[in-house]
Amino acid sequence: MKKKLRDLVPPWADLSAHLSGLIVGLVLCALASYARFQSLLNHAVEALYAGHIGESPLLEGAKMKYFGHLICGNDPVYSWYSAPVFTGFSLLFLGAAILAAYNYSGFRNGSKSYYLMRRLPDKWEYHRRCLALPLAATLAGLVLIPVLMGLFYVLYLHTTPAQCLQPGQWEVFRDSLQYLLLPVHLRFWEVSSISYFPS
Amino acid sequence: MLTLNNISKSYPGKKNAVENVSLSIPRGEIVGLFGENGAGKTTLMKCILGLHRYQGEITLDGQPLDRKNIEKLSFATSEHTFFPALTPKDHREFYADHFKSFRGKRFDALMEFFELPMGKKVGSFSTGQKNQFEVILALCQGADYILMDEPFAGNDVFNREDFYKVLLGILEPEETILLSTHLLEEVSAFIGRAILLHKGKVVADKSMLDLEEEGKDLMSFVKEAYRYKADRVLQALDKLTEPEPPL
Repeated sequence: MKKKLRDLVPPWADLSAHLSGLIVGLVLCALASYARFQSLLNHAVEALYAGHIGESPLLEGAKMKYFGHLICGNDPVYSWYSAPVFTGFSLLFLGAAILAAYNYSGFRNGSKSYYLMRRLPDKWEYHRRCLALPLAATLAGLVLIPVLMGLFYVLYLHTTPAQCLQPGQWEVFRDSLQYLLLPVHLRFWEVSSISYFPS
Repeated sequence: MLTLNNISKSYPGKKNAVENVSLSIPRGEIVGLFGENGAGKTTLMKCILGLHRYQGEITLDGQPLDRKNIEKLSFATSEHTFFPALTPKDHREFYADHFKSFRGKRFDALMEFFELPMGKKVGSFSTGQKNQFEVILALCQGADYILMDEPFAGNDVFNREDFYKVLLGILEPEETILLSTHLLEEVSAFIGRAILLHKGKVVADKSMLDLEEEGKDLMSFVKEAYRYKADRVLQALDKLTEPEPPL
């Protein structure tokens, strides 16, 4: 098993260091997202009260921001990178791209070992060793974003006083998730009519 | 048998780096590939190895070269293909994992003969040691056809002589060498055939036996094939040493 994993990085690379880097990167991204979300949530909840939370009454007719508005400031969610809560993941994806380029360049550094890699019986080994971990990091990030979004949504529902919740939360959440994963600029057929949040 | 049929290769800016080259190299031959810089030796080898796209057809024992038979070819080049950050011990493991016919015993024996350290990173070797290690890998991969492109560039003459002797001593009858080098005189004693490239084309292809029968040595054969003008240098020197005409 360890040998198979070792075949996913360049021959000179330290597998455990790569895996640790990947895990630490994901954990840091998740923590940064959580910290940002918690801060935004606290501010939004505080705005519902006349004074301090728990000491003062709710403002009359106060309504909590929609979840989608909350996680991306006051703008609609266009993508994971325009949502401030998830900007840490931009760095993760950028890091993954840099790692892939670095891996490829390693086969040209000090020798032309890519000649050897390109004539191995396994056609994909060269690219697998360069791309496997960067792709795994990207994929893990893309999975983690909706998972975190789900957790944040639960936290949002749990923290918001019931009478302040606006209707249609689920639809807004679903739309947010959709637009988060498939950025609006890729939806060329919808660019002219962007309105997915109730005002 | 390695067969090349009308191989042509062009680069942007260099039309016909290799032009309509057709060759057959039977098993067990040691073939010298000669030519001036830019004649197309390296390009031709890289075409054979599948490192370049080319026009024409290359077959190995009647089969087109692909992933199924690519391990029957190995390659040693002065550009080096080893991993500088790994030790010879790591390379041994890597090759054994990837090449079914890897010759571990030969590898150990050659490492010992050339007194190369097994536990030191190859990147820290001297140029001569790097070349030796590169050739050791090519010889030990377990390939039937071993392509060598200027493998001894940077090695001293004793070192090279050792290598020729070892090469002749260890090669098995089915192992074939295609050796590209400028060291004509050194290799003339152990190659069986000489192929000459000029501007991407094969201009001569002769067995050493034929040359011997014709009473020619490799150097004169090469000069003849290239229409080398022996008096060219004298003429140039005469012109250069002529007194300057008065102003």
